[in-house]
Formats: sequence, structure tokens, C-alpha cells
Amino acid sequence: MASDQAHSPDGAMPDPIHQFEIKRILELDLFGIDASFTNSSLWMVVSVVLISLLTIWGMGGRALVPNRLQSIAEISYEFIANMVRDIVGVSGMKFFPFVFTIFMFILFMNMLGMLPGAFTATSSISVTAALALLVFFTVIIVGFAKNGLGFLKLFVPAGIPKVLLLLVVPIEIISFLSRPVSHSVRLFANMLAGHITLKVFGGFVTMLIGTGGALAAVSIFPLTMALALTALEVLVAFLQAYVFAMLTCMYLHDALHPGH
Amino acid sequence: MAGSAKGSESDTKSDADAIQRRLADLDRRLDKTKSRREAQNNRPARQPGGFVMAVRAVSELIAAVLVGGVIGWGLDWGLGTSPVLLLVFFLFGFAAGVVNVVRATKHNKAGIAEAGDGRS
Repeated sequence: MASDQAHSPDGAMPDPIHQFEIKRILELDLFGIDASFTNSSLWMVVSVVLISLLTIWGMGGRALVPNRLQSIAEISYEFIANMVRDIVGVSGMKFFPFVFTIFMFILFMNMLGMLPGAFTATSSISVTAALALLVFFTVIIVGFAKNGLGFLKLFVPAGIPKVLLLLVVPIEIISFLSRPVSHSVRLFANMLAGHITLKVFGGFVTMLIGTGGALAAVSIFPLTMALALTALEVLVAFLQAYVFAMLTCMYLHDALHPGH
Repeated sequence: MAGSAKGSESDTKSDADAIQRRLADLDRRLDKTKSRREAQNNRPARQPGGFVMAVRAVSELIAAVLVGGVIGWGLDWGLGTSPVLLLVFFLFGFAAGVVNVVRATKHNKAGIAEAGDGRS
């Protein structure tokens, strides 16, 4: 990791990648594995604490007419419960806690990343890959546990001539193996690209103001752009959490009903 | 005395009528709101929107091509058949990517509704 070069000399472009730098807050070495508590871990902990506060404290009143916090908690429950019921089916409701946890965790990490100065934990591939692999292995384990070897029917679509299976089975296997890749890269790339774009437009504003004179007045254009992009990023932060949870549901549906 | 008793009787009767009417009215309004609410609730779950779809389709295609390429490269590296298997699996990966995209877009139109209708 490069040393602090975020605040470059006046007028120069601020480094748009600097915001993704992992800083160790608490050095920790577990049997040769670097398990330091980093700024990324800090914001993950913050999101877990906020989710717990929202659900435990928000639902603490158990009022018939909910207050704002309870409404938010109830709306998020309903949202995910409907998604799981629609996509996985009613028998899939035992995976509701899993999907709900994943959705809330990603949503809060994305949204907290929108705060100035905060670190976006989902902008590192290690975090999103860990989440995607968790889903991937859950699907495999649940699939084999529920269907035994019947889970392998996922790779052999019904009603296909034997000769074509030579082509179709490798394609299906690659398609299955590509799931965790697209699952993790989509979330990671969206968050990374969004934050870089924001930073670049923000950088234009400071650069134009730094030059002074008539050019400073032009800085209103990148500022407008940055404003619009911020709104878009809030939308993307929600949509990506939604897409991640929705795909988790679809994969779980495949695990429970591999025959298509 | 008698007059007042009669008056109160007719009062309760008209009161009951009014309550009946108001209840029926309320029922009608509730039904209307409920059906509207249901329609609202069902819409976003079925159609995640074009933006989501576009982002999904692209990443599905690229991921499959990548995975196919990596598998081919790995097999080549292990078997020393470079670059035959890389090419073959790259094409397999592309095919898998197309399959992914077709499935993703199909899911969007009918798949979710179909998955929900009691196959579980």
C-alpha cells in the first residue's frame, strides 16, 4: 500500500483510487495469517451494529401502529419475505434469515459508503467474493443434502439427445461455476466504478476552482454532475443489494428444485 | 313518555341503518385500497427494471467467458496441450455466457412468477 498521497499539491487531480486503500487499525497476526482489524472491518462492524439496532431497538416497542424505526424494520422484513416467497417458494422461507442477513449487510455497507469519509466495504472484491462463495457453497450443500445425487440433474437438462449432452454438460457446468464470479464482480465493480466516478467529478470541481478566474465559474457543471451521480449511486447501492439478494434466492430455488 | 320511547326506537333503527350503510361503504373502500395495494406490491417483484437487467446480462456473459477461459488455461497448463483446450473452453465459456443471458432475461419475464406458483 502506498503511503499517504491523497492530498496532492494544489490544482492537481486528487487520486481517485486512494479512497479504497485498506488501512490497518489494529495489527493482528493469527498463525501467519494477516487478520488485522482494518478500516474495511470497522465499517462492516458499523453496519452490523446499525442493522442490529434497527431490528432489535426498532422492533422493541412492538407497537400496533409502528413508529418510524419499526416501520423501516417491518418494510425490510416484508420486502425480503415477499422476495423469498415469490422466487424460492413457501418452502424456501427457512432460508429467509440467510437472505435477509445478506441483503441488509450489503445494503448497509453500500449506503454507509455513500457517507463522506466512510469506507465502502463492498468496493473490495475480497468482501463480495466471500459473500458470493458463501452463497455458492450453501447452494451446493443444500442441493446435495435435499436431492442427493439428483442435484446433478442441474447439469443435465431433460429431453436432450445423448450426443448433445457432450456439448451441453460442459456448458452447464461452466454456467454454474460462473455464478459466484458474476455474483461477486457485479457488486464489487458497481461500487468501485461509482465511487471512482464521483471522486473524479469532485476532483474536477476542486481543480477548476483552484485555477481561479473564469474557469472557476465552469466548476458548476462537474458539481451538478457529481450531485446527479450521488443520487444515482444511492439508487445503485440499493439496487445492487436487491440484485444480490434476488440472485441468492434464484440459486437457492435451483438448489431445492434442480430439475427445472 | 310513550312518545319519547317510540322516538328512541326509531332513532336506534335509523342508527343501525346508518351504521350498516357506513360499514358497506367502508368495505367497498377497503376492497378498493387492498386491490390497489396488492397491484403495487406485485409489480416491483416481477419486473426489476431495465437498468438491473442490463447490468446483470453484461456481467453474466463476461463471467462465463472468463471462467471458461480460466478452466481451459488451467487444463492446458496441467496437460501441456496449450493452446488447444484454452480455445475450446473459451468457446464453451462463450456458449455458457449466452445461455446465462438468455436465462436471465427469461427469468425476468416469466420465471419469477412461474417459480412462485406452487412448484415448491
